[in-house]
Amino acid sequence: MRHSAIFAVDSGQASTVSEERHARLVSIFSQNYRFVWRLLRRLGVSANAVEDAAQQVFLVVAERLDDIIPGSERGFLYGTVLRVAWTTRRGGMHEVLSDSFDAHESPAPAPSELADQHRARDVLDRVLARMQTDLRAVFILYEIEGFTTPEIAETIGIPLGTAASRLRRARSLFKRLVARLMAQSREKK
Amino acid sequence: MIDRMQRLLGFNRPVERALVEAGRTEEPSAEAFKRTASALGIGGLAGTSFLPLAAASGKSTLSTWLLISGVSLGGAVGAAAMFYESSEPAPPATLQAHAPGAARRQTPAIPRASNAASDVASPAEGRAAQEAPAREAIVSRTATPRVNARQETAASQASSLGGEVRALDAARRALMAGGGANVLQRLRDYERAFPSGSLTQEARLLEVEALALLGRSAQARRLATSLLVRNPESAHRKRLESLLETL
Repeated sequence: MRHSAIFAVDSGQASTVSEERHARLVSIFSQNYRFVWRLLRRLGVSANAVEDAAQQVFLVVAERLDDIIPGSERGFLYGTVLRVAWTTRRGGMHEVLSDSFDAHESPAPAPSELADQHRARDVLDRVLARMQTDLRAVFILYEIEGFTTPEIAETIGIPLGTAASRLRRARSLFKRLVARLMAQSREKK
Repeated sequence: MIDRMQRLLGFNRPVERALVEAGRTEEPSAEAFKRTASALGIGGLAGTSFLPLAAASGKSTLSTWLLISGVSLGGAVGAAAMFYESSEPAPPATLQAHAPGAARRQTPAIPRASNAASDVASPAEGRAAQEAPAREAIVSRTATPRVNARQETAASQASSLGGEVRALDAARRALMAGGGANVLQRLRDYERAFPSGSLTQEARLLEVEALALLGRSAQARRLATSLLVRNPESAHRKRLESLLETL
């Protein structure tokens, strides 16, 4: 871990953070750690880097706890996750924004091989990497995190109609990308 | 579960479904959760609240938790839980049908100070060290060959289990909101309503977590130890052992 405990005070002094702030941080962390971790993963942060990235997100939360309006924690987390994911991905996985898959990439596994969850996630992330962030985020929140459209609109801070529209486009694009990947895979074989 | 299935069914191709499902099943480890909590200086408290599955979405249904995490309550109970779920009103299939705000999550409550609920007795307190020797649901031994009678029995059991699931789900939501005292109260309600319930082990596990959240570590430790001794093969063994490490 790169960071020491933020509530530890130099020279062994007692924490100056109020019990209420502490309790709020515990609450936000406990309820959202999984959400943050999974969102980071699907936004392209590698398995090796995701723990540190999640820690960065919650450090930001801890530092800006007083600025977070009660009830808007998820929205704050979402924005922070996007920024941390972008920073973490630099030099690593990028959005490709293309419908085609590179020839040098390993072929997609056969449908029967997708029972291997690691392989399936690898393919999923290759597909998601080809979706622009706004569509990708909506797709992840709805399909993987189980949000409803109103919840997505609230979390991202967009009108409900926009959220629904993005979701339709994202699902359509996802299907198209999967079909193309599988077609390319068949051609290689 | 129904919602999860309906969303998956929105994809025509097995490949699409498999990919989305793979994304849904990836989870951070409890160790990663603990390490991050420690780095934030909240390891002791937050470590008690890392629960498997569904918490992130705010739709933490205990039934989903039980069925997905492979908790072995027996095929009959699992089937009954699915029956319960299928009896719930199906969520709307289309985006337009999602009523704004209908599924709005509750704002997480700030956990109260650890002693705030010290006057709320643990449901396990007052009980003798011994547990009721057998808590299995009573099954009628006068079953007749009539299929209808069996169906009625199954429906009745499923209905009862549905009530149990709802009661414990409410307790779990309270736990996720940081309301340890509220959890204990809900667990007492559960025990009163289902004295021979099928999910008592899950209730005890929640109780341990609530006690830990309230800072009543000694009680939590005693209860967790007692559960492990009484049920050495429990499906919750790992979770209980993990909790004990944090107490």
